Amino acid sequence: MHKRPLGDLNIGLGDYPTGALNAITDVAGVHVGHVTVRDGDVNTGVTVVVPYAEEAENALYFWGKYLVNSQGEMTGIQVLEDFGLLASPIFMVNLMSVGRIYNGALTYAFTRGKGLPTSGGWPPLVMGFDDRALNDLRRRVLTEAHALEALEKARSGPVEQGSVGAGTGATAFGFKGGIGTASRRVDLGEAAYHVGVLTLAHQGRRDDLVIDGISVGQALPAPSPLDNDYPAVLSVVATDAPLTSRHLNLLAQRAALGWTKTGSLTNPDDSGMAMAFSTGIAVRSPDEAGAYRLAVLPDAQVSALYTAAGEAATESVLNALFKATTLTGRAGRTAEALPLDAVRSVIEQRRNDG
Amino acid sequence: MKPKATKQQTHRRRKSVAARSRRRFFRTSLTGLLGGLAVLLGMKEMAAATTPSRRRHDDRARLREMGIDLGFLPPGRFNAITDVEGVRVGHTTKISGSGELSVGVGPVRTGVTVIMPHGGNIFKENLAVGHYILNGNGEMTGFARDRAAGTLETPIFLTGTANVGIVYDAALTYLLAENPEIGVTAKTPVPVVAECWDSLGDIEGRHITEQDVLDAIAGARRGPVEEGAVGGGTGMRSYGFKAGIGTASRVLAEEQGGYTVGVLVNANHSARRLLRIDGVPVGEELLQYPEGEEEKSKSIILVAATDAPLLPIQLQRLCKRMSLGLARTGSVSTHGSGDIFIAFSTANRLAAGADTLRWAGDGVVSSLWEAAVEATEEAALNALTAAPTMDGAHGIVRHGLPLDRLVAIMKKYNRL
Repeated sequence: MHKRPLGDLNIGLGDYPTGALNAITDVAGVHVGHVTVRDGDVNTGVTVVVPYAEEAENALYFWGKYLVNSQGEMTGIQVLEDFGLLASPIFMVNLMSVGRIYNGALTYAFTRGKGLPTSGGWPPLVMGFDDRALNDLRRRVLTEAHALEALEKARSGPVEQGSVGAGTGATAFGFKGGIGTASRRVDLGEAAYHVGVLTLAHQGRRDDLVIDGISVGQALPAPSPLDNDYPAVLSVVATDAPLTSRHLNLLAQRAALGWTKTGSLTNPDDSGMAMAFSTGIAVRSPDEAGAYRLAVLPDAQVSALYTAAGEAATESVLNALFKATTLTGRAGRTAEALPLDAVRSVIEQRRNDG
Repeated sequence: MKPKATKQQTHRRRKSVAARSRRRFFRTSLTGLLGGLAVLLGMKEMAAATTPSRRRHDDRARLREMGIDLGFLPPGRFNAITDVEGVRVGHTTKISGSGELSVGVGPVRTGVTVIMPHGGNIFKENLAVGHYILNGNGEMTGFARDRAAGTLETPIFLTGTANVGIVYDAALTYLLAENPEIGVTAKTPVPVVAECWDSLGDIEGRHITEQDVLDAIAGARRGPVEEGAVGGGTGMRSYGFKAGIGTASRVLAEEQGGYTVGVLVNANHSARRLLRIDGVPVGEELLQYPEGEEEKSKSIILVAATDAPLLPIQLQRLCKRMSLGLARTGSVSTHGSGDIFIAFSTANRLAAGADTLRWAGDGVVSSLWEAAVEATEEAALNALTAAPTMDGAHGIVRHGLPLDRLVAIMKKYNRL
């Protein structure tokens, strides 16, 4: 199993084993790219999750989504909601750069299909959040080129976490936030399926933070938290299990429930947006009657995947915190890295008290 | 406010306007006849001067100007979304080049239309908003945020599919200039940008610039709204004819609150054979005019404004009624269509700290639904009657709905 930060503490992260990488990239074909831009008051970037292997022939995949007080932007939402069939990379970016990254995503989609077919990456999926806590987002330094660069840099294999890509300017629970990922393997009969989650953690106040059921945030000593008036948590859930949109909506919902185990969504201002896709069904050519034949999992088996999605989502939030490093950003504001030694002390002490 | 017309009054009005329209269109019909004769006689030059492709924009008309007045409720002064107090509309139209398509060069047939929701600063004073996705194969940004909040915080932009990112970004430029506190003490707005596939021009070339968007905003006006192949509607077609922007409005009787409902569409949807006007199967009658058109469904964006004080959930219900207005024109909202609707109410300006809402009770909403249906129907058809024949990429010609033929068909079915 993948080695976890604070792994010796046996933090309760569920029953299912992680995938080999404990990352969204444990779902075959999924690749992730980051572009990080840091220059004085500018601390921002782009993260992209590409659902299919670069060499894959154009196909459509099933998608779902779940929104909680969605205060940022999620483009492509009408196709997500009404069709649930797409093949677009998912970009995460600061809210002031959504238009430019959208434009870059269109440039990419035009290379995959004249006339912007949905199987070629239209509509662009861009999730935007406000990272002004550490970034001067009024300066819109990101351009279309950064979207294309993130796509070029997208790789399978281990995923860089913490203060990278769109997570560069993120803060969470008063500490430095950022990108986190985790995965679970679910064995169903002969088949081994994966559920992977990649999360941008930018939510919560210090007092909200919960780890393994312990109110760690309230027990942690100084340094003083960095305020974040525009909290948001964004997740992408990937699975290779053959699920359709109905299930994927629920998978995205379970990711949101996974967030709450870290104290996310406790703050009424918290905004949460999750989308989920399955690579398990590649929709290509219908039969002569225009119909498709799909092998899907029976409902009774899907519940294991829901549980796995929740577990991976919880861990992805914690991994973002565990991996992010201290960053001084806009106007000299500093978000401290979560002090892992202090977290260890709090957890050990509470367990001893308990 | 104008009283609600009875069926009889409506009929009488139809007859009198029909007489005017007969005079008005005699010339047009004659021109068409001469064109046909010229073709028969091989008089190429004369034919070119009178064929629909050379019809001047001046020859286009609104449905009501032809005596075709739909429904029972009277329109507002301008029969436009701008009849709702404070609403302004601006267009930037980009037309250049012709012939073979060259990406990044042209031909250019695109633009942007902006709807400014009230006379003040929409970012500082939000309005209640509702939405409906009739068919989701389209894009309207800002949707996730606005639906959660129930408020509209930016102008509404209509444009071509590939311009969405550029327009979104330019909208932020405008909002940042108007509201320097954005990104400092105020939140970051999420602009509303909705698209249709403007296939008449070089889509991939993305010929819209930030300045084009700022120009549309600066040019936004009250009063009559330019319709047809303008602004975001420049490269659109509908029912196999040239189309684009259309608008219409309805006014309720005083005892129903005297409210106004205005609708503006960017019409780029449906197939020729389906077109119905006032119940008449106009599309079937014009199947071969002047040649059959390929049937490809695209999209229609509908924007409704009202001064009736409606809550977000009521505006969502109003949006659903716009589907019914659209259906009256024949649309079946095919799979490939992005049929996305948004409606806002100007009655309550929601500034930070506002805590009192006045909202319309259920006793009057049915009349508002009727107004929304009628205004949608007429706006979608005005998009057709206003749009002139236009050529585009690869020399393709999108014919304007022939108004002389339309009048003749309406007479044939005793609707004029």
